[in-house]
Amino acid sequence: MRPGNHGSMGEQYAEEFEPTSADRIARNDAMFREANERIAAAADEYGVEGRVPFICECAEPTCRAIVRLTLEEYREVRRNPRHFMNAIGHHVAARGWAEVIAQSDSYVVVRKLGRAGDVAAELAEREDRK
Amino acid sequence: MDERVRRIAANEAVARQVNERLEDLNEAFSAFTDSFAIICECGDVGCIEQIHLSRADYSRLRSDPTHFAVIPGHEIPDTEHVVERRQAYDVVRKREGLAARLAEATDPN
Repeated sequence: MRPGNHGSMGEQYAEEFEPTSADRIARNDAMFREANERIAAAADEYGVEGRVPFICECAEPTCRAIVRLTLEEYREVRRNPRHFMNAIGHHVAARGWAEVIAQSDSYVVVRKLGRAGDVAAELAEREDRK
Repeated sequence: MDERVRRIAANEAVARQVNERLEDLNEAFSAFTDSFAIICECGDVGCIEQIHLSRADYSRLRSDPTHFAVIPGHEIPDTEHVVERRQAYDVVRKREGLAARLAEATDPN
C-alpha cells in the first residue's frame, strides 16, 4: 500500500453537506463493515489462505463489488474505525465525506471525515461492546 | 487427499459466507430486483467470477448445505458432482464423506 491523494476532499468540503447525509453514509458503511467482519471471521476459522473475497465498503447501498484482500490487509484496515476499504473509484460515493489515504492495485483505503467519521467510530465501538 | 478436500471446502464455505452476506445487504437495503449477483462458489479462492440468479433460485440453492453454485467447468470432480445445469451456472453437490460433512459443518444457516 502507498499513500495517495486520490479524491481527497478534506474536512472543510465535507462539512458543507447535511449531517443527515453523513449519518446515512456512515450507517451504510457500518453494515458493509459488519458483513465483512463475518466473512473475515469465517475465513479465519476455516484457515483460508491467500486473498479472501470481501464486499466493497463504499457508501453506495447497491454496490456489491467484490474486492480481494488477505486477512492481514483486511485487519490493517479495521485497526482504525474510521477507515474503510473501497473498490478503486468507489470513494466518490461518499460525496466528500471520505478521503483516500492509501491505494493498492485492487482497492483503496478511505478515511471517513467529519460527522461521517464520528458516526462510523461510534458504531464500531457499539459493535465491539456486543 | 484429506487436506486438499479441507482446503477446497474452506474456500467454498467462505464463498457461501460472502453470498449470504450479499443477500443480507440486499434485504437490508431493499435492493432486490429479479436477480442478483453472487460470487462463484467453486473451490478456487482466486476465482472472481460472478453468477446472476433469482432470489428464489438462491434460496433453493441454500436449502441444501451440500449444494453450491459454480460457473460451468469450475466443479472439482473428486469432491463434488454436478446435479443441475442452469443457463449461467451449475449446481454441484459435495460427495458423501468428508466433503459433504465439511459443507454441512460450515453451513451458516
